[in-house]
Amino acid sequence: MRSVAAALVFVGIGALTMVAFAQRDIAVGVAGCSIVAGWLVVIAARGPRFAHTVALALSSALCAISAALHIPFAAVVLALSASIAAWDLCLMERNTATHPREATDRLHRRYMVRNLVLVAVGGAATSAVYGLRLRISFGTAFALLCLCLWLFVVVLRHARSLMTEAHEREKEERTAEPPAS
Amino acid sequence: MTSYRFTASFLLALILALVGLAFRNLPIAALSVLPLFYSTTLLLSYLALPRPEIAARRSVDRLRAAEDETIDVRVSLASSRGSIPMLFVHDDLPDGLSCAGGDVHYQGPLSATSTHSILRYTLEGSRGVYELGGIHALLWSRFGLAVTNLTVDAPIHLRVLPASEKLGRIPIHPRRTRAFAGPIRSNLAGSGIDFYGCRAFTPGDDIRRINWRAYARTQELVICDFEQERITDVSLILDARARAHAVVGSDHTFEFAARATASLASSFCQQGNNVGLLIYGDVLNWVFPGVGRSQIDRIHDALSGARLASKLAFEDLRQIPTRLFLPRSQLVLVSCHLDEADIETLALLKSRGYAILFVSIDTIPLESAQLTESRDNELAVRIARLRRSLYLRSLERYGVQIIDWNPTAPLAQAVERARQAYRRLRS
Repeated sequence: MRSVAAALVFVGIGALTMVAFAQRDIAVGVAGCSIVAGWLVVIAARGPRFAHTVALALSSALCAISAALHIPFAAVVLALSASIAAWDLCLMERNTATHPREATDRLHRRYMVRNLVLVAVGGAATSAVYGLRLRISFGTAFALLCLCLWLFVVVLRHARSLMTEAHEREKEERTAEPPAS
Repeated sequence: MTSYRFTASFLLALILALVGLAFRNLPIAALSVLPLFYSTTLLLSYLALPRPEIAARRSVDRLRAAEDETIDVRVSLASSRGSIPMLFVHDDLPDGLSCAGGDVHYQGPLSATSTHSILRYTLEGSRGVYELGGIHALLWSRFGLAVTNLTVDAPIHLRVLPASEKLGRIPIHPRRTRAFAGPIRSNLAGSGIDFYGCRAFTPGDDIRRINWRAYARTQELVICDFEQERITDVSLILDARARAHAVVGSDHTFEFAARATASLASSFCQQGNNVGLLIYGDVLNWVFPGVGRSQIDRIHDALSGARLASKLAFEDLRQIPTRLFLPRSQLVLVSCHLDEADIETLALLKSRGYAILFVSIDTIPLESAQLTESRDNELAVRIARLRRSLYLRSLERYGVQIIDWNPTAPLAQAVERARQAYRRLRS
């Protein structure tokens, strides 16, 4: 999984970097190279979870800047898709690190396929939304912004409560019952 | 982990949307669709994840096995809250145990009514006491991305006993024996097999034991006595001092000592003797003397848990707690190490009336096999051999019996050699 994640980082952000260099956006290109190098080091060293998340945040920021600088949107979406997929694969690998590698190979392969399909569909959806070419006023944008914030708070609170409840329930069940032997 | 991934990806989507809307930049706002799509799918996957109640049962065909035996393990899982579409199960084996056959992993669905074993494997391992703890399970929805880690408890304790060898009769001759018949010569006249001596007839003697040839020669009634054979008290001492052992190649000399002690304990117990065990080196690990099959099991259990220790108080054999041993009984010391201080201690024990059998494990052949061929190495091996033989002869002069065992050959051969030497000495 780590090798696939590394390949995704290299191909996705590397492609964006090449396009940036081709368009003489040297700053974006150099930043892209640095992010690729740093993230590959983190992947190779089996870095902690937050290191991968920081790398994702940096690459997302690079994608946003690239999009603002009118670098071809397909390259930006490819870079973001690859970053999210690589980040997810790295976290998943960390989660199954306690299991022996030969046993989790099949599991990892299946997970990788799902992950890549999901990100590909997400990338296509993003490109489709970009193709809509909506023109919105400042008031509409502000309203949408408030809606986003409200949605974020509601969904996050709901999701966290659901996850915490499930976790607590599992913990209670585990402590209440005697271990099976 | 799902919560973390969801929060991070949703936060990323929100930040991209906010920045896009704030700067009225459609490409940046459109980029938020990708992490939003990802986080929404992740949330739906998590909500669709089954929350089963899994109980595990691990069964084994035996809880104690020797090093050269295997243990069959079966693990069955039961889900009391419906079936699980995809489950990954892994039984984590402790260091020292390995899977000799079968598979310790399972990947596939688990039906609610399933009661059959999903894992079947055979274990083999080196000497030790092991605890098989929880069974790790990774649970995920069939079409989703959410994964949950579970550990289902199914504890079980296994003992891998040192491999023991069948030995012939071990030549020991303690000064004190017990009242019951056994294989040890008691140095007392009575009924037995070996000739002990002759004496004048006294009224009450069995007339079948009159030596008629002596009567024909001397015209006096003479009675033949035979040496009584009885059981005795044997105290085995396993030297577990760290400085007395070493790793040679892939072998640890302590393992040879543990196997030798197990073989000796089995042999002495099978002859009907009262056998105890002291593991010398760490805290006092003493198996009280006893007889029979259960005593063999007790000693083997103690040996399976024996570990090397490095305690300053037990640096040499002077601290052997002699109060644990019956006066004038038989002591059997199993060790790889010998130096002047140990010889002094053994001589002191001998002078106190104990009969001592020293099973000396000769590690020089093993160590010399690891060395490269050179003149210096040859010289070093020669010096080590001379030094060892010097120490062993010193012990023999003090009256200590020696079994010199080269661990590349069976212990039974060394015992046989010692028995022949003992016979020659007596004749």
